[in-house]
Amino acid sequence: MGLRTVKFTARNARVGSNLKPQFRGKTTRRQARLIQRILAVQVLLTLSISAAIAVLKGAVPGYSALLGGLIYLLPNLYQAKQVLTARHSDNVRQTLRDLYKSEIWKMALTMVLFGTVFTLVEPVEPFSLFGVFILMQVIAWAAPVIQNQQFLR
Amino acid sequence: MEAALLYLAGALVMGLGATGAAIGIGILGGKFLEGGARQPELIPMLRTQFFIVMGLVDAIPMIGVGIGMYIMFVVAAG
Repeated sequence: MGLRTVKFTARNARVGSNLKPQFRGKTTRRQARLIQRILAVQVLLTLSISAAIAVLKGAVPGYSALLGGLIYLLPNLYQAKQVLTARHSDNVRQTLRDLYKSEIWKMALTMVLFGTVFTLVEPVEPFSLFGVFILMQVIAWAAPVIQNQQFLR
Repeated sequence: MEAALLYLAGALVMGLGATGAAIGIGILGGKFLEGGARQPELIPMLRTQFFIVMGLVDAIPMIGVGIGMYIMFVVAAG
Protein backbone atom coordinates (compact mmCIF):
# COMPACT_ATOMS: atom_id res chain seq x y z
CA MET A 1 0.00 0.00 0.00
CA GLY A 2 2.79 2.40 -0.83
CA LEU A 3 2.41 5.74 -2.50
CA ARG A 4 2.03 5.53 -6.24
CA THR A 5 4.86 7.44 -7.85
CA VAL A 6 5.05 8.74 -11.38
CA LYS A 7 8.34 8.61 -13.22
CA PHE A 8 9.49 11.76 -14.92
CA THR A 9 9.37 10.66 -18.55
CA ALA A 10 8.88 12.37 -21.87
CA ARG A 11 5.60 10.48 -22.29
CA ASN A 12 4.24 11.93 -19.05
CA ALA A 13 5.29 15.38 -20.10
CA ARG A 14 3.68 14.93 -23.51
CA VAL A 15 0.40 13.17 -22.94
CA GLY A 16 -0.18 13.43 -19.21
CA SER A 17 -1.24 10.45 -17.17
CA ASN A 18 -4.29 8.31 -16.50
CA LEU A 19 -4.03 8.73 -12.74
CA LYS A 20 -7.20 9.73 -10.94
CA PRO A 21 -7.16 13.40 -9.98
CA GLN A 22 -7.11 12.94 -6.21
CA PHE A 23 -6.41 16.55 -5.41
CA ARG A 24 -8.59 18.14 -8.03
CA GLY A 25 -11.64 18.68 -5.82
CA LYS A 26 -11.37 20.77 -2.72
CA THR A 27 -7.97 22.41 -3.16
CA THR A 28 -8.61 23.62 -6.68
CA ARG A 29 -12.08 24.90 -5.89
CA ARG A 30 -10.68 26.76 -2.88
CA GLN A 31 -8.00 28.37 -5.02
CA ALA A 32 -10.50 29.29 -7.72
CA ARG A 33 -12.63 30.91 -5.03
CA LEU A 34 -9.53 32.79 -3.79
CA ILE A 35 -8.89 34.17 -7.30
CA GLN A 36 -12.54 35.17 -7.69
CA ARG A 37 -12.52 36.84 -4.26
CA ILE A 38 -9.32 38.81 -5.05
CA LEU A 39 -10.84 40.02 -8.33
CA ALA A 40 -14.10 40.98 -6.63
CA VAL A 41 -12.21 42.97 -3.99
CA GLN A 42 -10.21 44.71 -6.73
CA VAL A 43 -13.36 45.65 -8.66
CA LEU A 44 -14.98 47.06 -5.51
CA LEU A 45 -11.82 48.96 -4.53
CA THR A 46 -11.44 50.44 -8.02
CA LEU A 47 -15.00 51.72 -8.00
CA SER A 48 -14.88 53.09 -4.46
CA ILE A 49 -11.44 54.72 -4.81
CA SER A 50 -12.41 56.31 -8.13
CA ALA A 51 -15.61 57.66 -6.62
CA ALA A 52 -13.71 59.00 -3.59
CA ILE A 53 -11.06 60.68 -5.79
CA ALA A 54 -13.77 62.13 -8.06
CA VAL A 55 -15.52 63.65 -5.06
CA LEU A 56 -12.35 64.92 -3.36
CA LYS A 57 -10.14 65.97 -6.30
CA GLY A 58 -12.47 66.41 -9.27
CA ALA A 59 -13.59 64.61 -12.40
CA VAL A 60 -10.24 64.23 -14.21
CA PRO A 61 -8.38 62.45 -11.36
CA GLY A 62 -11.55 60.42 -10.73
CA TYR A 63 -11.92 59.01 -14.24
CA SER A 64 -8.12 58.58 -14.49
CA ALA A 65 -8.24 56.38 -11.38
CA LEU A 66 -11.14 54.41 -12.86
CA LEU A 67 -9.21 53.94 -16.11
CA GLY A 68 -6.14 52.74 -14.16
CA GLY A 69 -8.27 50.17 -12.38
CA LEU A 70 -9.94 49.05 -15.62
CA ILE A 71 -6.57 48.70 -17.41
CA TYR A 72 -5.56 46.27 -14.67
CA LEU A 73 -8.89 44.49 -14.30
CA LEU A 74 -9.99 43.77 -17.89
CA PRO A 75 -6.88 41.72 -18.90
CA ASN A 76 -6.87 39.97 -15.54
CA LEU A 77 -10.54 39.03 -15.75
CA TYR A 78 -9.89 37.66 -19.24
CA GLN A 79 -6.93 35.62 -18.00
CA ALA A 80 -8.78 34.37 -14.93
CA LYS A 81 -11.63 33.18 -17.15
CA GLN A 82 -9.16 31.39 -19.43
CA VAL A 83 -7.34 29.72 -16.52
CA LEU A 84 -10.35 28.75 -14.44
CA THR A 85 -12.35 27.32 -17.35
CA ALA A 86 -9.49 25.44 -19.06
CA ARG A 87 -10.38 22.02 -20.46
CA HIS A 88 -7.07 20.14 -20.93
CA SER A 89 -6.39 19.65 -17.25
CA ASP A 90 -4.51 16.32 -17.50
CA ASN A 91 -2.04 17.26 -20.21
CA VAL A 92 0.79 19.32 -18.76
CA ARG A 93 2.12 20.62 -22.08
CA GLN A 94 -1.29 21.68 -23.32
CA THR A 95 -2.02 23.32 -19.97
CA LEU A 96 1.27 25.25 -20.05
CA ARG A 97 0.61 26.30 -23.65
CA ASP A 98 -2.83 27.60 -22.65
CA LEU A 99 -1.34 29.45 -19.67
CA TYR A 100 1.33 31.10 -21.81
CA LYS A 101 -1.24 31.98 -24.45
CA SER A 102 -3.48 33.63 -21.86
CA GLU A 103 -0.46 35.52 -20.45
CA ILE A 104 0.53 36.81 -23.90
CA TRP A 105 -3.05 37.96 -24.53
CA LYS A 106 -3.14 39.61 -21.13
CA MET A 107 0.07 41.55 -21.83
CA ALA A 108 -1.11 42.54 -25.30
CA LEU A 109 -4.49 43.66 -23.95
CA THR A 110 -2.79 45.73 -21.24
CA MET A 111 -0.57 47.44 -23.81
CA VAL A 112 -3.50 48.14 -26.13
CA LEU A 113 -5.51 49.60 -23.26
CA PHE A 114 -2.62 51.81 -22.11
CA GLY A 115 -2.07 52.97 -25.69
CA THR A 116 -5.77 53.65 -26.20
CA VAL A 117 -6.07 55.64 -22.97
CA PHE A 118 -2.95 57.71 -23.63
CA THR A 119 -3.90 58.53 -27.22
CA LEU A 120 -7.67 58.97 -26.95
CA VAL A 121 -8.32 60.27 -23.44
CA GLU A 122 -7.21 63.80 -22.73
CA PRO A 123 -6.46 65.08 -20.15
CA VAL A 124 -5.22 62.19 -18.02
CA GLU A 125 -4.01 62.54 -14.45
CA PRO A 126 -1.02 60.12 -14.32
CA PHE A 127 -0.75 59.93 -10.54
CA SER A 128 -4.33 58.72 -10.12
CA LEU A 129 -4.07 56.32 -13.07
CA PHE A 130 -0.79 54.71 -12.03
CA GLY A 131 -1.67 54.97 -8.34
CA VAL A 132 -4.75 52.76 -8.73
CA PHE A 133 -2.97 50.48 -11.24
CA ILE A 134 -0.08 49.90 -8.80
CA LEU A 135 -2.49 49.51 -5.88
CA MET A 136 -4.24 46.69 -7.75
CA GLN A 137 -0.90 44.95 -8.30
CA VAL A 138 -0.04 45.33 -4.60
CA ILE A 139 -3.40 43.80 -3.64
CA ALA A 140 -2.64 40.85 -5.93
CA TRP A 141 0.72 40.40 -4.14
CA ALA A 142 -0.72 40.79 -0.66
CA ALA A 143 -3.83 38.63 -1.05
CA PRO A 144 -2.08 35.21 -1.16
CA VAL A 145 -0.01 36.20 1.90
CA ILE A 146 -3.10 37.35 3.78
CA GLN A 147 -4.97 34.19 2.74
CA ASN A 148 -1.97 32.14 3.96
CA GLN A 149 -1.48 30.26 0.71
CA GLN A 150 0.26 26.90 0.97
CA PHE A 151 3.04 27.68 -1.50
CA LEU A 152 4.05 30.89 0.30
CA ARG A 153 4.38 29.28 3.73
CA MET B 1 17.33 65.53 -28.94
CA GLU B 2 15.17 65.71 -25.82
CA ALA B 3 12.38 63.75 -27.49
CA ALA B 4 14.85 61.12 -28.66
CA LEU B 5 16.12 60.70 -25.10
CA LEU B 6 12.55 60.37 -23.84
CA TYR B 7 11.78 57.67 -26.41
CA LEU B 8 15.00 55.90 -25.40
CA ALA B 9 14.01 56.10 -21.72
CA GLY B 10 10.58 54.64 -22.47
CA ALA B 11 12.08 51.84 -24.53
CA LEU B 12 14.58 51.01 -21.77
CA VAL B 13 11.87 50.93 -19.10
CA MET B 14 9.78 48.52 -21.18
CA GLY B 15 12.67 46.42 -22.46
CA LEU B 16 14.41 45.84 -19.14
CA GLY B 17 11.09 45.03 -17.46
CA ALA B 18 10.26 42.57 -20.25
CA THR B 19 13.65 40.88 -19.82
CA GLY B 20 12.99 40.29 -16.12
CA ALA B 21 9.49 38.98 -16.82
CA ALA B 22 10.77 36.66 -19.55
CA ILE B 23 13.32 35.10 -17.18
CA GLY B 24 10.77 34.78 -14.35
CA ILE B 25 7.97 33.32 -16.47
CA GLY B 26 10.42 30.98 -18.20
CA ILE B 27 11.60 29.56 -14.87
CA LEU B 28 7.98 29.35 -13.68
CA GLY B 29 6.92 27.46 -16.80
CA GLY B 30 9.85 25.06 -16.53
CA LYS B 31 9.03 24.26 -12.91
CA PHE B 32 5.35 23.83 -13.82
CA LEU B 33 6.25 21.37 -16.57
CA GLU B 34 8.52 19.47 -14.19
CA GLY B 35 5.94 19.37 -11.39
CA GLY B 36 3.09 18.43 -13.72
CA ALA B 37 5.10 15.63 -15.30
CA ARG B 38 6.08 14.22 -11.91
CA GLN B 39 2.60 14.42 -10.40
CA PRO B 40 -0.06 14.85 -13.11
CA GLU B 41 -2.85 14.65 -10.51
CA LEU B 42 -1.68 18.03 -9.18
CA ILE B 43 -1.97 19.86 -12.53
CA PRO B 44 -5.27 21.64 -11.71
CA MET B 45 -3.83 22.90 -8.43
CA LEU B 46 -0.54 23.90 -10.08
CA ARG B 47 -2.48 25.75 -12.79
CA THR B 48 -4.21 28.08 -10.34
CA GLN B 49 -0.97 28.58 -8.38
CA PHE B 50 0.81 29.32 -11.66
CA PHE B 51 -1.84 31.96 -12.39
CA ILE B 52 -1.34 33.63 -8.98
CA VAL B 53 2.48 33.58 -9.16
CA MET B 54 2.44 34.79 -12.77
CA GLY B 55 0.51 37.81 -11.50
CA LEU B 56 3.35 38.48 -9.06
CA VAL B 57 6.05 38.03 -11.71
CA ASP B 58 4.53 40.25 -14.38
CA ALA B 59 3.41 43.08 -12.07
CA ILE B 60 6.58 45.18 -12.28
CA PRO B 61 6.97 44.78 -16.09
CA MET B 62 3.32 45.80 -16.52
CA ILE B 63 3.90 48.93 -14.44
CA GLY B 64 7.03 49.53 -16.54
CA VAL B 65 5.04 49.16 -19.75
CA GLY B 66 2.48 51.67 -18.49
CA ILE B 67 5.11 54.23 -17.48
CA GLY B 68 7.08 53.66 -20.70
CA MET B 69 3.98 54.20 -22.82
CA TYR B 70 3.10 57.31 -20.80
CA ILE B 71 6.60 58.69 -21.49
CA MET B 72 6.29 57.91 -25.20
CA PHE B 73 2.68 58.90 -25.87
CA VAL B 74 2.17 61.80 -23.49
CA VAL B 75 5.50 63.26 -22.30
CA ALA B 76 7.49 62.95 -25.53
CA ALA B 77 4.54 63.79 -27.78
CA GLY B 78 3.34 66.75 -25.70
